[in-house]
Amino acid sequence: MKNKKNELTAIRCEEAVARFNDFMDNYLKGRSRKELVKHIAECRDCMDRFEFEQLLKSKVHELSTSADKAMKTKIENLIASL
Amino acid sequence: MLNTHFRKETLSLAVLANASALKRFAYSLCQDQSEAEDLVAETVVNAFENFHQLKDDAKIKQWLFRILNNISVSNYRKNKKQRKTELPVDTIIADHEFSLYERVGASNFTDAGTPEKSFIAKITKEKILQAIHELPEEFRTTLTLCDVDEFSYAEIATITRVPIGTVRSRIARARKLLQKQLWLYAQELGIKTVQKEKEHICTCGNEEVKTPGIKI
Repeated sequence: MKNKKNELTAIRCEEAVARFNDFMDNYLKGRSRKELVKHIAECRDCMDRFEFEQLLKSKVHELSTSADKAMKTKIENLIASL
Repeated sequence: MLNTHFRKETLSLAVLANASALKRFAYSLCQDQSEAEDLVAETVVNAFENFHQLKDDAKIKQWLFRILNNISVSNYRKNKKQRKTELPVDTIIADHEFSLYERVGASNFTDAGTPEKSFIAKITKEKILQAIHELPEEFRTTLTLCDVDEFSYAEIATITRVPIGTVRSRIARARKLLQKQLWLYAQELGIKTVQKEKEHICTCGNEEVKTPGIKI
């Protein structure tokens, strides 16, 4: 017998978009996550929107590769003096 | 004794490995290079004085960031220095409705591939950084911690001493504000809206009524 509790509710695009941030940040869990994954797999526009948001997030993350060598040298000198 | 020496070595390595990230966070708090360097230096001194309080070495990065935030808050209270924390009201209104994806899709920006994705590829690091620094303090610091340094919501809540729900809403808001700022830069380069409305094309079949896109 099929368990109705395990059936996923179809969500609307508006709801899917509202869950993007939590999903990208690995904060969306369980049923809510599964519903979104299912929606994105079935909705081309939401898939494109989601990819756009992820791309932008990755672009922001690229800032982490900028090394501040002067700061590192200052800290090295500071640690040596402690 | 040996353990103490070993832990100090661990702390030194952690501080050096996170030098750039700490400076970035400090700058996002005070927006002044010299003040940011002083904040990091104070953080390092404080960390070495109090490293015995750190119970879990796995949380050393989070601990350093929290110290830095605490010092910043303390300095701010002492100096009562006015920081740039406000955006003009008209740029904040209705930012939850803003979608850069929709703006680019309805614009004159064209490219061989998908215009929305090509647009992202063309944004420089400098522009992203500039856009982040245009955001009010609570948004730029939260966005920096989350998207640049990849702290979790729970870690950001601990570092900045705000509830996790506040972190979550600040991230959502910060991303929208960042997108608005990037759109302003795009407009300066001559990219503009050419369609009145970008229609949301739903292919999932769950929409009762087709959701209209942006209204310009």
